[in-house]
Amino acid sequence: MPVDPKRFISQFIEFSKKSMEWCSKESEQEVTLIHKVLTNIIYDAKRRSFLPEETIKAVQSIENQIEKGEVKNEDARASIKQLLDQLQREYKEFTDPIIMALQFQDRFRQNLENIGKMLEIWHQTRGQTYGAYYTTKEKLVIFGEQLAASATSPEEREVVGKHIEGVKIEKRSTDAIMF
Amino acid sequence: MNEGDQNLDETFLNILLELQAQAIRNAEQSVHNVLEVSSEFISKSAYKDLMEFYKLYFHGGKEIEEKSNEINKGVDKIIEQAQTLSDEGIDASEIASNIIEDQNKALERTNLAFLQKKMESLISLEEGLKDRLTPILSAMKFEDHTKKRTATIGLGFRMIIKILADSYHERLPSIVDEMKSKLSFKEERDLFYNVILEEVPSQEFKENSIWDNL
Repeated sequence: MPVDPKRFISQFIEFSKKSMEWCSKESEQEVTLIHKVLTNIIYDAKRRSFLPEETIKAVQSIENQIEKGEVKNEDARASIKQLLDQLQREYKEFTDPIIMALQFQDRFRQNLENIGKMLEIWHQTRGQTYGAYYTTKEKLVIFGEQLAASATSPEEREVVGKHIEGVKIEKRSTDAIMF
Repeated sequence: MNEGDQNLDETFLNILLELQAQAIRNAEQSVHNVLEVSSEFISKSAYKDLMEFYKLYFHGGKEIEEKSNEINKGVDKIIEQAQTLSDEGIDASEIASNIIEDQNKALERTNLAFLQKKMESLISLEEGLKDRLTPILSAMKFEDHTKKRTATIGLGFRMIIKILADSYHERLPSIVDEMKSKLSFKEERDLFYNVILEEVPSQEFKENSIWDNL
């Protein structure tokens, strides 16, 4: 049982970062889950004779690789995109939710990673000095700018800006969702 | 502690909680889209039950927790009544008919148990459904993990602020105990023991098992 508060704070930050890393890593599994959902739909479409044979073969190939653990997430994403392109014209009603699921998964993964980074920034700023940082308005703005710099989405930076007056929120060219 | 430092900590807590809420919203949206598309390859009735399960489990939220607490209190009351009747010498067969249970509470108790059983039976009855549901249930389970883990971090950080603000270090063991009592998944519990308690986790642990039974 920890009895030294300073040590406890360091341990808690370590625990929190690892916990967020675990969630972020697990969220990547969702890409393969989404591929599985897509596979189910495509097999269902096959049953109903909707799809050409080459599309079915492409699905089976990537599915086999996923099962053997031979597929990286980027490849699974690329495969999903390719399949969606083939399906999109006729089956837009279910390809759109899949695209959105992937977009939200990607945002979510980034959110978790960034929370971990921000906890470390707080720890570097406050936890290690443990009650002796003597925060001024200027120091608070610098702290806020460090937090904003570790964010990847405009929404995250807006949260920082909302709580800390004086933090400049930049618009970045990488803000667009890429999937 | 000086006011500026306290302000920084409290500001960071607010930012942390808001960012966690943002992450949860994105996770929910992702699962919501997976659910939406799943309606294409499972039967209408299975989809309806799945949605009902999802809504009740995640969005019943406090309501479900509160109901559960109320129900537990209600059950305690029933046991108490039974004990009293037994002490008064009333025969066991007559006790049940003498116990007064609020009808609504009785219904709620049935509904909560029903929620899980319905999903279990749905999976066993509909052929091939388990395979089709696996990705959906895994996505839901992950959402649950994330909500619980972010809640633990939020709780812990609130406690840290209190420790820093009033230097009341004596409460540290009770803070750690409180955090420990909130852990509901094995992976999180193991991490907590390894990193914070620096102990090997004990074998006895009742995991939130709703997902494992499905």
